[in-house]
Amino acid sequence: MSRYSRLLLVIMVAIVSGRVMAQEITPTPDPCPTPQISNAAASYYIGLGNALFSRGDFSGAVVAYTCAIEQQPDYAPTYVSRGYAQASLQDNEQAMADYNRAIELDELLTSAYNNRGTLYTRLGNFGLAINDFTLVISLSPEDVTAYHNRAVVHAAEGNYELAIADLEQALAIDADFAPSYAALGAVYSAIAAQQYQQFVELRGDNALLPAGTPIEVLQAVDEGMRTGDYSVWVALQTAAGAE
Amino acid sequence: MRRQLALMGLVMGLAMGAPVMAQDTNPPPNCPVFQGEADGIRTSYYMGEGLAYFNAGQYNNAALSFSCIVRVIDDTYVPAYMSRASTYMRQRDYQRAMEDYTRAIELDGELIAAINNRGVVQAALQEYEAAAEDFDRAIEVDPDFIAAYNNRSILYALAGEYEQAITLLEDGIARSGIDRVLTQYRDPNRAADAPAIPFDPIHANAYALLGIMYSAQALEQYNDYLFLSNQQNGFFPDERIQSAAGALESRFNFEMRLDDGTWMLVARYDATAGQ
Repeated sequence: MSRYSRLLLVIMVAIVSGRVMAQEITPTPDPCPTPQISNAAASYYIGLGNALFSRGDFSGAVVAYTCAIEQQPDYAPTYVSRGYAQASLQDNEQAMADYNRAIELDELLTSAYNNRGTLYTRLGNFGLAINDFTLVISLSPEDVTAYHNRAVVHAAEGNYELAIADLEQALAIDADFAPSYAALGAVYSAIAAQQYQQFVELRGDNALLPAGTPIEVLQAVDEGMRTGDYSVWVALQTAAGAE
Repeated sequence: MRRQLALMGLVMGLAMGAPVMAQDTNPPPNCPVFQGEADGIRTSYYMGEGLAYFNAGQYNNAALSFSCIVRVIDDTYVPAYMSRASTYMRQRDYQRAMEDYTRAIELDGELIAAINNRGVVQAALQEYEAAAEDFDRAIEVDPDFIAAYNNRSILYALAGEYEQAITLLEDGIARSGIDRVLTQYRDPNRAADAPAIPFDPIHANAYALLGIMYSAQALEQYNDYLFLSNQQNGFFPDERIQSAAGALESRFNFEMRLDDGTWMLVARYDATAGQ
């Protein structure tokens, strides 16, 4: 695997798994905070957990979701929420257990498959990840996240055409789904890396790229789109008989 | 509804002259979580979410969560009004806070936390007569609610009615029993290892306010003396009094001023006690 490809793989996994915060220690669940309202339903703790999660307090969120689960152990979505919080704490084992438990309780719960798929991706189990995303798509054909996530796994496997197809499908469903544009850009970057690699193989390691390094080309293309300066493309042309 | 009030020992940093916000005419917020579920489930969710945001200082988010309850799910749910009012107070949006406390009082006319806290908000808005009515009402509803005595005494002092302020504070002290605690602690026969006598710091606060009232009265007397000295040639005021008056004047203009809300006591609403 080339340097570019390895870099792209890391980027893909980061995209598919969401932003991950570094945490080393799984928290010991604290006692559940006493609800500040009477007759609080389990959903009180889910609300608490969601708010804590949204501000990056994943440990606090795990505690809150655990309290909700203690109060209502058969409600599958809470396991998904806790699983995601566990995954954000890098506790893959607990996260997987929670996703599996959610699926046991509700085999049609697409969020559980979606999140488990992202976890499989992070763990490098691409086949299982694709299975989960494909299952979500079969259960919910308009699930833009599932197409997006499956595309990223395809990309991580080097199947760029399949990745592009899934990303285009995601954007066909929701043209405002921004992550798919980022992923599409990354996939084209991967294809670019492949092509540059091909150039190096033909010309040798020390050959100069005709329009500069890949980053310089990208910058020049970006600037050219804004200014109309097409000189970067001119640099890529080759005189007849030059090869 | 049972009312158990835990007073926040903290004083509020209310800034006078804060901008008055217009009444909320925004469309109801989007509240998709647990849509279709029972109101109790949805209410619990948004209370949990809102309180977590509140505790984290994310007041805009907290207000949205509580608004989901009162504007979308259940417009009679008092804890959400009380919590949102607290949120608005933290944001110094006193107009909205007052509206929420008023709504809570409409729903529960004897909810002392709402009555007292609305008084605090009215005072922040410099609506002193309305604030006084609220504190009087709080004392009427619960004569043992000492915070209202303290708050009302501040309004008396702001009107220059120090005697009434002192009388009310002494009444509160007698009612709370903090004077007996003081006597016990000062008993020369009290053993060094005698167990601590528990008391509410809010009750002790009345002594601080009494001191302020007497200081304010002292300043009045000093100023009377200095005023007279200006009326007659050859009457040179004692410099020590000039100095003492200047020091007190300065304190009442700055750290000891009574009109900035910092001496007001806000009651914490305990939503677990009822509903």
